[in-house]
Amino acid sequence: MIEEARKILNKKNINVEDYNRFIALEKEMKTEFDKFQYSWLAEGFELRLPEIAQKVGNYSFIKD
Amino acid sequence: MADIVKELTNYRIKGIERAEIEYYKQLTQTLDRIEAQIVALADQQLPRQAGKLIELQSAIAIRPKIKAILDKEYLPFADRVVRKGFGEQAKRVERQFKTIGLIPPEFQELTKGDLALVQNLKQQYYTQFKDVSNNFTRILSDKVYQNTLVGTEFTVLEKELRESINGIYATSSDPAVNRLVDYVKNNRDNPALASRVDSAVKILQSKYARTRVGENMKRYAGQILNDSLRDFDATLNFNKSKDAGLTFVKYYGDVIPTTRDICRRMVSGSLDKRANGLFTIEEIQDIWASRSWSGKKGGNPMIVRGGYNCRHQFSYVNPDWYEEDGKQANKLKNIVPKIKKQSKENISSLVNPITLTNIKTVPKQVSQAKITKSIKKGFDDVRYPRNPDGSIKFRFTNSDKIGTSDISELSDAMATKVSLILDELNDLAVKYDVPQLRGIWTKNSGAIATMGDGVLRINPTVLERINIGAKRDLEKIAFLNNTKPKNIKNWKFGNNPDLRPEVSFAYFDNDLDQLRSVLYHEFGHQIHHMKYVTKKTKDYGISFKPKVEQQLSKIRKRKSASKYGDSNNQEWFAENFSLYSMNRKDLVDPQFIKLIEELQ
Repeated sequence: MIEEARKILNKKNINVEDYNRFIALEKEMKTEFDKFQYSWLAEGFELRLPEIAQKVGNYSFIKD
Repeated sequence: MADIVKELTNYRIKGIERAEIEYYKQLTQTLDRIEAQIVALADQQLPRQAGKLIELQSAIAIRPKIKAILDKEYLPFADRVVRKGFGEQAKRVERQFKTIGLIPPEFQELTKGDLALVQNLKQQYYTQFKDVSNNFTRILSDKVYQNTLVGTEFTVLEKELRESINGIYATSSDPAVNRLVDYVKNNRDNPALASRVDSAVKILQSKYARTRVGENMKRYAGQILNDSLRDFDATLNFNKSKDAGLTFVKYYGDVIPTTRDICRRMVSGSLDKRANGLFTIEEIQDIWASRSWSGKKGGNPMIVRGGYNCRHQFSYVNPDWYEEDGKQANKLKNIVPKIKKQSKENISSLVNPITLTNIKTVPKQVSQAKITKSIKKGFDDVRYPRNPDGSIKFRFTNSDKIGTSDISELSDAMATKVSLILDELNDLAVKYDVPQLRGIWTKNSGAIATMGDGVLRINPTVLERINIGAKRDLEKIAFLNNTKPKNIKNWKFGNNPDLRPEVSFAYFDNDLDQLRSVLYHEFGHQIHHMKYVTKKTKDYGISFKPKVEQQLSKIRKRKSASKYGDSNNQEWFAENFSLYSMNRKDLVDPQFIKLIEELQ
């Protein structure tokens, strides 16, 4: 799961599907350490959200 | 066993530093009041025609009124410094002698002779402060007279009066200039903020072509304030020790980047004359007489030490207090300090970041109040872009958190740490000329922390366990590579990149430094987001590409000491920034060093 999150983060182009999958992955993290590792990958992913927002036109895709 | 003489000398030195910070703040407030009153006085009392000064009689009549303002505002400040400041320092000197004991009891306390000396020193330094007042009464009056004589515009006189008092750059209509001027004005001579103030001065000089006016009241009064407390301590200590028959000395104080070579060498022991590290007074005099250095002051080296602004002090000792190799003899070892431990707690800056041992956890409300004040200042920073109607422009999600300072989910301990590191982030904001943060909030899921639009989000659940996570990170990589965790932690450029930690905070030992590393990383993002952005940046929004990020995308063959730094150019920047700012330049990509030094 961590590797999948890392792959999404490292993708050159990301879209809403990537966002949805990345967010879903958090719930699939089983151990405390996996959640910990996920937390810093999520740091980088959140910084890339404007790339998706540019495609969508706004931040309406955000699930909170 | 702690070195008791060193501990007591540091107690005296820290006492001086605290007093200096406090009195410098008072001096700043006093001179601001004087400046306002004198300009108002001149405005009311000097007749003008078409804005030009015309009446010499009024210019002459103003002199006693200038003197009255200085007497009313400045002399009570000088009195406080010598009466309270010197009085408290005398008590610290006495505490050192009493705590060590080992000298005749009559010399352990302040004797009548000491008290007479204290009184003389108070009078002597008060006179020095008063001389500044008299001198500037004359200078200010002369400025009024000369400007009236040649009939200059009142605005020219006003500028000269302001500069003569505070010596800081003339008032500007540019808020960026005024912000830096205020910063320099309020923090100059605060040792803990020296490098931050220097950065602000450099920006003013290079970017805004402003110069500090050399001859001004603040400069002279500030210099006397700086040196008087330290010289007072040295003089009283010297005289008391002479009476007590202590003729050997040790030299103490911090070594910082601006420490003079003579002080550095004395503290490090490279000038030692004997194995126990003690000097006789004659030896000190010989060392001082045979060398010259910038800022050296004439006079008795035991009093003037390294010279202007010297932060070091001598302590007087007896050789039989030490073993031959310099270790404390039993008679010193058995001393239990009676002094109230000087608090070094809860002050932090980029130059002197607080350490874990010096943190005192305070109730969350205290940290919350501090953070709220800081966030408010960031929120008001005009560099953050706004729409013409004043509404906020945003590039990232969670724009509703701009202006928020909610740390309610943090523990008291975590809130204390965050509030202290925030002080360091504010120093970084000045250093890199970007606005300070304008929002902080928490969320117990998702990212460890995030940054966008000047808003920091932190994840308390993850950060409370950061130390465990960092340890596990090292263990996991070590296990996968059949090596020991310490080999991961000691990774350096040139080693197998597979052996790097996942994240740079794993290079640090304790949870405070690990948290600092994370927050510095986030502030690295603030720099590539906000550097060169101003209120005039029209296209700020979701499609905006800041100048630094454009530069980043051109950098090839990036190196990072963490695997996470390989993710993309922004994480490369933030990871390198964190290590660079935490003095791990050995783990920083040289390309990053070149870039960041251009951004300072």
